[in-house]
Amino acid sequence: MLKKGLILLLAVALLGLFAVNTVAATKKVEVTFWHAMTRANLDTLTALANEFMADHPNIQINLAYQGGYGDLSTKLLAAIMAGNPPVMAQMYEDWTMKFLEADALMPLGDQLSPATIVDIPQSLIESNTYLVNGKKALMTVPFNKSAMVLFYNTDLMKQPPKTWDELLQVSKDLTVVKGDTTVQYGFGIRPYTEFFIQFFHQAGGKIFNEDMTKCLINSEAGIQAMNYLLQLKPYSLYQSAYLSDPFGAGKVAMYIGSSAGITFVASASKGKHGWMTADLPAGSINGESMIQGTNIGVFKIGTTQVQRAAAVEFVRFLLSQKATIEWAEGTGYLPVLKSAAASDAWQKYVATHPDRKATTNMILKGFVYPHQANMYNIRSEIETAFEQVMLGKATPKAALDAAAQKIDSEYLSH
Amino acid sequence: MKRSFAIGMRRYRRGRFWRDTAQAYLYLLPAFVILGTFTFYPFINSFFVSFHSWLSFAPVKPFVGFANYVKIFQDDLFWLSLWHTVYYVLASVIPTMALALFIAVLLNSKIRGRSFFRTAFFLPYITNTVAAAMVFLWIFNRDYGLLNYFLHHLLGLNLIDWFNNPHYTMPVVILMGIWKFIGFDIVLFLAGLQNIDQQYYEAAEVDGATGWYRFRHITLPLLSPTTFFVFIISLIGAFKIFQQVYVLWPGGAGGPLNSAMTLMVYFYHVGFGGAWHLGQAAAVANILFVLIFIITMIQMQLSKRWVFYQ
Amino acid sequence: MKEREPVKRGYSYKAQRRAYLFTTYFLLLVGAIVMLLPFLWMISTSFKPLSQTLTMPPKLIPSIFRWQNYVEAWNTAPFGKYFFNSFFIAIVETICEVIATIFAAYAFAKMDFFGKNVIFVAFLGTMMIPGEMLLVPNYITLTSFHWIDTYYALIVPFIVSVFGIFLLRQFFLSIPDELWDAARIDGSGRLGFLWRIIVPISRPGITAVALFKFIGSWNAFMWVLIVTNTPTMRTVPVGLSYFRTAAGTYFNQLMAAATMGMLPILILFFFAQKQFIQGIARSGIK
Repeated sequence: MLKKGLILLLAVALLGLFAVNTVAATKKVEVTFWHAMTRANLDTLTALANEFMADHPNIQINLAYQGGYGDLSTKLLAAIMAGNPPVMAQMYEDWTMKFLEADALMPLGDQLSPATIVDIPQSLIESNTYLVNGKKALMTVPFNKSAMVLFYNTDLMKQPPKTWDELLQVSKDLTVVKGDTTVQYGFGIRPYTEFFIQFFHQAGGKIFNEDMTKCLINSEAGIQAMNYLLQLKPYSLYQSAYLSDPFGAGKVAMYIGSSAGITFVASASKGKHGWMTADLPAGSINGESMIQGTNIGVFKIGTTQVQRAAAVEFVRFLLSQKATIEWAEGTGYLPVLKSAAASDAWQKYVATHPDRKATTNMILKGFVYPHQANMYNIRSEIETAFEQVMLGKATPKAALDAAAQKIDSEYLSH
Repeated sequence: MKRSFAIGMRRYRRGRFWRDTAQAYLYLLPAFVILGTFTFYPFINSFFVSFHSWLSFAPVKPFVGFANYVKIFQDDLFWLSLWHTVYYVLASVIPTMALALFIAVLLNSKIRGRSFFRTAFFLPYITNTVAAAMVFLWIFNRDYGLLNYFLHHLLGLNLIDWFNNPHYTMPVVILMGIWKFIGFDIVLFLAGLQNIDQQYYEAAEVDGATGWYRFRHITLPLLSPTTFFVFIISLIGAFKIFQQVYVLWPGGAGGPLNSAMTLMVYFYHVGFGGAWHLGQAAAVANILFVLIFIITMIQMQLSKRWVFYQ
Repeated sequence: MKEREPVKRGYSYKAQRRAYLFTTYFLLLVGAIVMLLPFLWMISTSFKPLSQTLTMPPKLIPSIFRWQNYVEAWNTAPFGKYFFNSFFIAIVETICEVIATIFAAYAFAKMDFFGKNVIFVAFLGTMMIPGEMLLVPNYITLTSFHWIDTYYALIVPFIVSVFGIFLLRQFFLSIPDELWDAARIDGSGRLGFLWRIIVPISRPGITAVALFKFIGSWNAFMWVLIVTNTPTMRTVPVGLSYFRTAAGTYFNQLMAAATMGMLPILILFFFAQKQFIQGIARSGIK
């Protein structure tokens, strides 16, 4: 009885297996796009893809969610090694450098009109341009870009701080201690590399020298940034988890984070307190904001000429003014074209969504990481130094010197 | 006559042995094919990779001998993660087993609601790790967590920053490990306890043996095969701990100042994330494999002294 | 003397027994509460609005019940498809594994063959290999089979489990050899003996192996994500990753989805547990 039942079940299961695997043949050009977008971001991306497909009935865009960025990178690594990457994918700059070692990407610069290229902010052009066979080429295009902005609780302050000094003062003023418990923190510090680099850059720091042979993290600017953050620390919630949660809960009065968090902050603060974004408080040298997020690359291995052409068509569409604005409205990311940011449509949107104003301002005052294939390791070294200082394990100078020395000898030597 | 019969018998037995061998191999065929393709082949492959400078897509992958191993042994982070792994194994395996044994003994007495208790204790084991980690992120949250609510607000102890103070990250991982895996151990111990012949206890009763004496001199020795089995399985699992750390501190650094970085997290840090040094990663995984293998073999040898087979 | 002794013992025994039972219930209850608290929070959070998930003091009963969390969670990812796949994969995988395991365990337990011990140790050794290490090479293998994004990739690599073979082998070992001798005299072959005698009496053990496999398959995440590309091939744990964003996690909806995802396996365990525990018990783990 058991045996018969088992065999029957197995037979049914196998039949199911074959039935489900039968794929209807289509004549359309299929373009698979691996991404890490969820929720509202995914909805917007899907809407854009549908719009595009309506205009290009011969192209089928297959959006394939591949988990978080870590999962996506592992997957791309495996897929390229197997010679079977998707047609296009989201990618960070340091991954892109590795993909270029495999000669896996097709250059996108020649595929775009000069007008479009000129329209992309200079910092983003830099971060998408790579040295390939001794020549500089635009290999990828910017996609989901966000800027660091200041989130602040409007129930607690009318005007956000404009400078580092003001930030420190407001943080002090808004920190409330009852007994031995801090019931409210003025600011929040999250010990990850980009957080430190944001302050380092505003103090005038450059991570590497011109020819990328030496790490300059232990420069005057580095020590100044560390010391400033040390001053902020007593008035800051220090945690490695996202600061959007405690900000939403009203525990933190201000924090600096990616503008990609706008949607989340809106739901986390709902019914508790008002909030707004502002330009970053400016440091001694500048008030620039770090631009983060991924770019889109098109793979030339494992794909056909027709697929690549279709992918390029989709890239062009995504870089149109209309699509860029639609994307930015739906997600909280930046419009990656200068003309889009200046357009009436976007200005009108910002007028009704003031939380996007700072984001728009920051795109023109943005800076990006320089290209380095070992950026993952370099970032972890800087993060360790940052943590050591914040946890009182080392002085700013000692920690940054050690990090710079390790980076020089281990990751910049070749 | 007699002699030829013996020869015939031996020949017959030998024939049966080889016929059985053929049949056994047929029975093992699915296992050979699947394990061969998806475990042995990649394992041997990674052994090969570990002797090459296998830096993601670099077109040339030169043979470098033991260089990857040397590199790892020179890395402070490796020794740190090795220490954390050993710390985790020592601090989680034995306490989990002791607690599980205690609860299993309680559950083994004739009490009501046994299915409820069994389900309650087994529930964490069947829970998705990501969901479980989210719950732990809340329980140990400094400002809003349940634990600090008890310790700080009700008992007046110092506020502990479980996730950001490097001293407390391993304890969090260990507590989560105990919570998650105790149910698995309990179920195995319960099984072992039910397997002990009741006549031993009856005999002990006649001799007037008390609870502790019975536990010490009957339960423990007769349970030793189960204890050994649970110990080996837990040991292997604990050495490979990865997911718990990775979901509590995403990004792959293993918590503040790498204070919860275990060997598998280190493996991930070296091979994935963004470094993509597959040669070194393979070397880390092989070191871990050899470590587990040696310790298991030592345990197998030592077990002869304390494991008592009925 | 002999008359008085049992009375005295009986009295103290009763009191002792009561104290023992009280302590037992007390300890078990405390333990169960500690184990279940996280789940209570999980369920309670699944009904809270996001802005109420972090409060001090913690609130176990939400001030507002937000049932929409479940609807929103369900719509965040194609969960209907995911649940179907989770069930389908877990069931097929479990059935295949049970069959493969029965054969392998039988060979190790009841047959003498060339290289038996070496093969067995080699099998056990596979448990010591960290699975993460096999991810990339197996992806490459599956690509060459053209199995990426198919049910084969999700099922076939897992239809043999060494843990299951080990457990079932112990179970088969405890079945006396005389049964085989008797069956042979009746003219039964090994295959007939295995299916007609061994399998029926090993049912609880098989249930145990099946349940462990089902749990493992149900919760698999990384592998599913890596070897599939399209939502039509994915499972519930992949759906849970949709609640993490680049700025924070939608705790409330995640907990709603996790609660839904846990329910089937919880029900399965509740009904299977009697057989399950008996199953391991008879295997006489040695």
